[in-house]
Amino acid sequence: MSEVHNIPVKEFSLPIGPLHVALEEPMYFKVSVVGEKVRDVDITAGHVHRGMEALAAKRNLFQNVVLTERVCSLCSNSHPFTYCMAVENIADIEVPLRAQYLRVMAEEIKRVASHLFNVGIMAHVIGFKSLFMHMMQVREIMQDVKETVFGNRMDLAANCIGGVKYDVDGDLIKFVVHQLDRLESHLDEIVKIYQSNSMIRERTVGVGRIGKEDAIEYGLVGPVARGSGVVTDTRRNAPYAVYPELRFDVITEEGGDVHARAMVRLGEVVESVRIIRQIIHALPDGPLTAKLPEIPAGEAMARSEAPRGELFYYLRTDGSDVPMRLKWRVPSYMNWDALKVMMKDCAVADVSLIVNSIDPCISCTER
Amino acid sequence: MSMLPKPDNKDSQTLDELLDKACGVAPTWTKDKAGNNFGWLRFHKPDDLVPAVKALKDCGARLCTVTAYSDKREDERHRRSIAYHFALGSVLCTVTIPAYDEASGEALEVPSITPYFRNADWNEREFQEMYAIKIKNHPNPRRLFLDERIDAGIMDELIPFSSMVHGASSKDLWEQVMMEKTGYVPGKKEQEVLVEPAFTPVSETQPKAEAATADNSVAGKTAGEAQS
Repeated sequence: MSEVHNIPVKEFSLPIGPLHVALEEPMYFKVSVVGEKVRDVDITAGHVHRGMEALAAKRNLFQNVVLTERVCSLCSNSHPFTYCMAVENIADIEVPLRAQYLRVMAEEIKRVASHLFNVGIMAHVIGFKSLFMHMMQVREIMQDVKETVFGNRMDLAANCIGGVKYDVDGDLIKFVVHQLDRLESHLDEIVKIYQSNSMIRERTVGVGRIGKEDAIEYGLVGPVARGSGVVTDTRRNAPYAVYPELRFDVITEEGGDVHARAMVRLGEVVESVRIIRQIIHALPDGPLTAKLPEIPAGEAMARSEAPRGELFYYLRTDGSDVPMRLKWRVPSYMNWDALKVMMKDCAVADVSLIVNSIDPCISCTER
Repeated sequence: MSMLPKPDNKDSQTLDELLDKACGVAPTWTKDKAGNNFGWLRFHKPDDLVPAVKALKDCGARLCTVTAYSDKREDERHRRSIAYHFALGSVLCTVTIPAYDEASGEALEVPSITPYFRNADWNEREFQEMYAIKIKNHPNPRRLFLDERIDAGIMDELIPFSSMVHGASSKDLWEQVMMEKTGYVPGKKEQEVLVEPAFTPVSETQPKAEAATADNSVAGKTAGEAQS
């Protein structure tokens, strides 16, 4: 029992989920509430667990490219990309330079669409419907790029072991540049709105705070860590593909709150557009795939910077074409647990806003 | 991945020295095409893990994730190992322990590292229920994904639906079907030739009167058709 204005207030449990209008995928939160304040949160996962890692050990190495594309829709390029890197590490495969550029291009196109979706949903959660609709329309510019270049709006199917499965010609490049110009004409305005609009600031600044020390302690990654001032980005920390040859800034914010995380994502959209332009400018000629050797017995790790943060793959082979073990750890995995810190003493009305601010991916978490 | 005789960047050199000092064993090192270093260290007892984990915590390493796996397929799949993956800057280092006694094969409990790395909590709970590995001193050993009523390690017991519907079955099933249908005996080289039973033609069992009527009607019809 605690007291507010001398009136005893009882602590009670508020169940949210697993099926709830504010959640796009099922997750169960048992929130302990006193009055309008959250005291603690307990998370129960497993409502859509698909046993995909067990499934990966029943399929051959090529089939697993298709399987990993289907772990999650928003990260559906990062998964096969990182998986292929793990296979290439085991077999010492040198991916052709053009293929490396195209892989990064697909990755950054997905990052732009993913981040715009998340900050758009944030506007939806706080009730700023006109901004939400506008964000989804702006995101549609990148969705058109995906549909035109890859033939699909979500699963790009861009990667294969040793290279890529797609190519761009002069007409496609012109189209992509045209779409980037369109997108950039909106980005300045959007960033200013998120930075300064009183309605957004009122609902998001100081909400769902997690400090730098806690972010490190919980092993947070991606925009959630960078929003708390942790300078970490796998593209910079552990270079892969052609990222060392590209100029981009690692965006960080110090606030550690919902607003800081949204601003990191918007800053990264700007950086991703910059990266795609560099790729278009520097794209070399050459083959799209490497000649594949037999995959030997061994073990390898690989990691990449997915839209939500560091994505990690571990692969173990025995010389056959079916992996002994394929394990992946998604960025959301650690970010979930940190909700305990972010939701401490927050208002009940902010719960869904804070959950959205970690850009949670349930299908990624429950492989 | 190419083997490295010695680690070739600052972070991997730090890890190499620290682990050697803490455990008396230095990792082996490999390098990928982008120049990232990977350290690999395998212990023979689960309890050897703790000094290595303490050293990694002290040098500011981050736990990336934990992978439990079966050392071999099928018959010896109950022999589980656990690989703990750590990151320090651009370097990844994997420390592996067996979750069994290497001499007898008997399953052993493994120490929890959640007291040292907060984010080990979910990882340990996951391999506890997915691989039925027991953990010592875990601060919160509740189920994470699977319901309490489901056995730990259940994924090993399941046959993928795709295998089932594709008829990917042992040959025992098909031999049993053939035995029931044809008398086929597995392993017996000279099989008896299957002779189908002979059936009596239906016309032979027709009563004679009916047969005669049938003959007339056929004859009459033929005659009428001839007149027309």
